[in-house]
Amino acid sequence: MPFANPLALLGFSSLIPIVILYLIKPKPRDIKIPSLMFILDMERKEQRYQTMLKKIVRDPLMIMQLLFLILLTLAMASPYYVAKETVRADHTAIILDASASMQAEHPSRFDRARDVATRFVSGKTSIILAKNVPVVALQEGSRSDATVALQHLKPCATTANIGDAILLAKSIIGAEKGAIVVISDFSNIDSDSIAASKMLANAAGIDVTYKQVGHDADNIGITYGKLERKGDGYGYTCNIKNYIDSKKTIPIKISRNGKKILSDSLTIAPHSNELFALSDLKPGATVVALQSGDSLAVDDRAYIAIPDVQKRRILFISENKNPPAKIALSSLPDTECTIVKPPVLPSFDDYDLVVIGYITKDSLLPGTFNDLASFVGSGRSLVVLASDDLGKIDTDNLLPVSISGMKGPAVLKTAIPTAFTKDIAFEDVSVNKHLISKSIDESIAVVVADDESPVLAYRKSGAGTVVYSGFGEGDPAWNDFHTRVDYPIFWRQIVDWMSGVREIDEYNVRTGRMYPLGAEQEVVTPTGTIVTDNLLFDDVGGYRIGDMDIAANLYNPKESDLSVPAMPEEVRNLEPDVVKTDVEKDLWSYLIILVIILAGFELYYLRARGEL
Amino acid sequence: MIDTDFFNQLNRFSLMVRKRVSSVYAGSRRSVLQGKGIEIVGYREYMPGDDIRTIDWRVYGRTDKLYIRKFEEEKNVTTHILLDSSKSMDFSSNGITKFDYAAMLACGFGYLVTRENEKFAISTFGENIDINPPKRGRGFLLHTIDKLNQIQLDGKTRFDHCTMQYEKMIRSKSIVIVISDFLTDLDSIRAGLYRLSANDLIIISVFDPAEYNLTIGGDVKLYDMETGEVRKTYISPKLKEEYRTLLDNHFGGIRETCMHIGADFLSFGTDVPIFDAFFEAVKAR
Repeated sequence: MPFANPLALLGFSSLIPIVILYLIKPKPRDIKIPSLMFILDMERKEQRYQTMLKKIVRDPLMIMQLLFLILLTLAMASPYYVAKETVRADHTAIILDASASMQAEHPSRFDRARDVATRFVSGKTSIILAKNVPVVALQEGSRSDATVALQHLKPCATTANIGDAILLAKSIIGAEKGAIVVISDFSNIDSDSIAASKMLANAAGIDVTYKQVGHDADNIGITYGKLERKGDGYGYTCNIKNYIDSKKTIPIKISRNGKKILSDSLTIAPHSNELFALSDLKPGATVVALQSGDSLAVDDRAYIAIPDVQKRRILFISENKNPPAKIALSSLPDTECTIVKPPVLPSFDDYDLVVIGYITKDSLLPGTFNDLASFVGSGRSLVVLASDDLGKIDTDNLLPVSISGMKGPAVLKTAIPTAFTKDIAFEDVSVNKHLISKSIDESIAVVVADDESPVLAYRKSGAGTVVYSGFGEGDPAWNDFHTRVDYPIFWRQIVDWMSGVREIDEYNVRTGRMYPLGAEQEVVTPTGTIVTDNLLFDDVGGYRIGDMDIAANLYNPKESDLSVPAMPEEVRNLEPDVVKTDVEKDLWSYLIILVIILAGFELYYLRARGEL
Repeated sequence: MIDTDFFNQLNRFSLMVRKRVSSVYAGSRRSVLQGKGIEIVGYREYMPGDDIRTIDWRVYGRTDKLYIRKFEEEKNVTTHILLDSSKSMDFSSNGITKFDYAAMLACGFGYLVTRENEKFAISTFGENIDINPPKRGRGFLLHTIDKLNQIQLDGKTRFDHCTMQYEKMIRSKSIVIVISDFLTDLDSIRAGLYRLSANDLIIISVFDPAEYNLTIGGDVKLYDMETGEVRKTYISPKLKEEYRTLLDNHFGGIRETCMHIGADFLSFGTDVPIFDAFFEAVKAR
């Protein structure tokens, strides 16, 4: 019998000490007790068969222990035999559609796809899970590997990129002879991409076949959702679509942080959409749940995450009374802006952000920038706005730029897009004059003038951040930025960025999005806790990364549409091409079962002898 | 070796006969049964069919009613003692073998009977029985003790076979005392006991304390004292437990048979003082 791991047969040497132990054990004592002999004789007459067995097996415990070691050694050596079986002979790459629509029906389309996949398993099988990015679940595994891998696969709540999955399968098969089987409901697919991928695979000599699973199914789902700030709270609007041929009234339950707060209902005409809105949503996790009882559950719930933002305290230092920058900061939500006129300044410890506006050479007392350096070093933020004398003031090397003079009009451009420059057209700002400056080491120039002078730059200092804004605090003699509609947006974005608050859309994402974490960390997902450095939102529900809560939703009208496109008859009834071939059959699992049974029997035997 | 020092301690005991006996010889043994005799034990009203010779006419003269006299039956009884001399009786864990202990019991009974001037016989049995005819007298007792001291223990116990042989020589109702370790087939013991049940039967089982409380364990080589057979086995706690149960069942079966036929069943370990054993045996009667 061939062995996959013949080195393990060295384990038979473990039998030697056992045999020696039994050989050198003390000789039995000679005993003459008439009654004992009499009773044993009497028992022997009653159990003649057992006595015969005992005569053959003098020491059953030794036999059991020897057998245990023999079987364990054999199991470790992985014996196998070769049998003729009807299987697919080549390397088969199975692509399983794992999109949200595959969760529809009972049993689900995915369960059916998995059952179909077991019939296509060959001697060498690779399995690819087609999500929005294809995932290799098994590469060149055996039949048993494939069977085990299939049992552990589950669908997700994303779209499926079958075209990319075919290309990945093609690269796994490589130059070998092989075939690709795509098992899907073929709803919401990019047929052009699939066709192109198939042609590429065919060109490489790889046959691509399709197997369709599933039938048309009814569904009502949330196909779109939008969260917007309204006053102190947030407003949520979602689109609910009825894919059924009849009018439906859907009860809707809204809960926040696990407690039901509202019930409502919505009547939707056949194949129509209705909007559903919620206002004044407070921080926390809100769930909008449709109680439709339809074929697909993942689009029946919308998860809303609103972060609890602490009030940010801002100190604005300026010689002017109410500059536009201060007005913009005061209008921001969750902020409290105080303006002071130098030189007497309050303690910086009471503030999260200090903004230095228009100051003159003599405005600040000596040592102020030294105090500000400690303030920034402790993890807080400083924004220094350009003013005429800024270049003459000793800023204790805190600024991200070094200023060398003043210059006239300039055209701006965004050098590096950042979170706080998003959606702001700096190119349209009309600049009348600006400070000639140069980035210092470790600073990042975000917006620069045509003379390469940074107009917006930042640097890390200690645990905090220092931002230099060459736009000033809003003087028309410098530029018209403060008159533009995106001026308050700029301030909101920069304050949010500096205080670590992200856009509300960053907390409410669609499934399928990749989220780089920088380093491996623990993430609580709707199905459990994982450790990853690159999170894929592939399930709907709440995620927790560190102390940040993120809600993921499907919001995909094509995935919610559970109609199955008509495919050719052979696609619905595809069966694997099979041949008779030699298949290696593992025996180790049977041997391990025998070992476990033997261990159990040994324990039972010891217990029967009253020694356990 | 049989120690006879204990005979003096037995002077206060008397073996009481329980069964109706009939013999042409008169003895002095007390009986618990009533019948023909000399000593009057009571009266009862005359019933048709009663022997008119027993009517007490003096009572009739005083009461005008017919009363008959009831006499304590007089008796004359032979004591047959069957002593197991199989090889298994040669076992000892504390100095005294089962046979020595059993023989002392047998001689003790012989001594009691001799004191009453009754006949007794001690016959040893194993695979066959060595029948001794009953006789009276101290000389016979001393001769019997001497003979028992010389005996060679040998062979197995064929209880049924031996009792069948012995039964033929019991001519009248007698006291039959069987002293053995009873390590033989229960059916054979039952058959033998039923065969002797017509007599006043006392069954005494003798065992060594080491036989009841097994202190050994692990791998052992067992020797059969009667057949010489050798057997290797493993003495586990479970086996000890089963052994004790089977031993109890075996002697339970003998006790049950004794109860059924009205025999006394007594069981003594060789660590029980011989006087205590006698006290127990006589108290039971």
